[in-house]
Amino acid sequence: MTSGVENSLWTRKRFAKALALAVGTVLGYAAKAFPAVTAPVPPALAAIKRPRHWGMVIDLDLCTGCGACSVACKVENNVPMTGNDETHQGTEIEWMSLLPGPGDSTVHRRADMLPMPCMHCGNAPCVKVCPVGATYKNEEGLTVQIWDRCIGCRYCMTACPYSRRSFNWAPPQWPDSYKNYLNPDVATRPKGVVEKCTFCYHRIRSMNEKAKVTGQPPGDEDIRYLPACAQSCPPKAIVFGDLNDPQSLAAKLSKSSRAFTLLSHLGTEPSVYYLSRNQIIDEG
Amino acid sequence: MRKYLINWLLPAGLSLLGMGLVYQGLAGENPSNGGILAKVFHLKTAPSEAVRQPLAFDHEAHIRAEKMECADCHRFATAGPYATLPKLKDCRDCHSEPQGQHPDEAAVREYAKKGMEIPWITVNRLPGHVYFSHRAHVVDGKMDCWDCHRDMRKEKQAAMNSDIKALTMSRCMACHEARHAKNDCLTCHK
Repeated sequence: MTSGVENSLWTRKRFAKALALAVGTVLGYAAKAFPAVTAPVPPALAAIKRPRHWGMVIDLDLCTGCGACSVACKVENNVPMTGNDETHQGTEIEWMSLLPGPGDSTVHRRADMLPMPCMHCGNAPCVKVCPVGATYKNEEGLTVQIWDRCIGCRYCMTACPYSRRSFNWAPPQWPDSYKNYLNPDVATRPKGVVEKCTFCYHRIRSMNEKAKVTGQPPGDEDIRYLPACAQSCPPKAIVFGDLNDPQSLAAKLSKSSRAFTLLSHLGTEPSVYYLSRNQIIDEG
Repeated sequence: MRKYLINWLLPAGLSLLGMGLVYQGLAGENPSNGGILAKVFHLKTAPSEAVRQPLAFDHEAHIRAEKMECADCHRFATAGPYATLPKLKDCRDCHSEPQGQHPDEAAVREYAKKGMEIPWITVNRLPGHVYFSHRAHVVDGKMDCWDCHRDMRKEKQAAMNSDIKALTMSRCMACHEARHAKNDCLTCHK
């Protein structure tokens, strides 16, 4: 009996040792996982008041439906060019689409068009369905898509109520003469991944970098027309900004009485607001 | 005691050895240059064989003796995302007159005579989905070049191989964490 106990794996001494080891490991991982609990907050992080929340306001009363935003977006973000066939099949790639609005065009004199970037929802349905974590909400309120992590299952495309995601059905193609004009700040996406609007994050990134180097934080005037779509809009109908900053133009406009969001009844909390005198689109 | 050795130490030792071998084989000592992973996934970010640079540029002589800064020739290291390679103009500032006896110095003047740039070969290339800004790291992060690059102050030649110590995501992220820099995916991925 005694020899049996000694030969068995779990004597009391060994058990105590293993327990101590396990507790130590768990504590070690906990210290790594929750550094805020174990380590004091560094001064650099404490200085930040609150993270930004990037948002966009599109004034439909100013929009003329010219399509400059859509073209500028395509050029800026290396969106592959597709032909008639793909467009008819519905497999073309567009980050900033100009969709015909649901209003009766005979009633409204203005071109009834609806520029639609990714809504960067606060409660994003696409993030919830991604099986590999290729899309997530970052601390600046952006819905981020990591091209290299995407496996191309297209659940997010099904989940997105705004159809703001496109799938690369074919390897991206550009005319030869165009290849030297691709934007080096934006990676090209391979076949088999889903892509979407990034709010031109590469521009935000270089703005932040410049601000850090020069020591001058960017003002709202520098941010207002930062994304390619907002920059190219002739009547300046698209305004970009930090919705957490009450002084920014975008935050002020988003609280206007004309402001509404698309499909608000779904509870997606979009970061893109629309302005219109007749809120024809808010049918939810 | 013998049982303890066989039960615990031997498997532990063997698995450590195995892990080490796997890591060596998969990642390689310098993952930007080799290793099975890099070969399978075409992760090569630099020429794997030593390139032959057009001139035998002596880094040590320029930095030690002439007290030059890296950014004097790699001009955009402090001014933009890409450090860039020197233009002929940077050489000509001093070498339009002979400074020494080296035959390659005369070659600089030959290039100038032909009106040609020196065809330096780029040895460090980032993967297409990575954004790296030299300005952010050198000016804002106050890092030294040799924190990531080989110490060119001791090199008597132009770089013939990738001279980055290890271009791995874990290395980038560990340093970002230690210095409280942002570790969001979008900080470095584009």
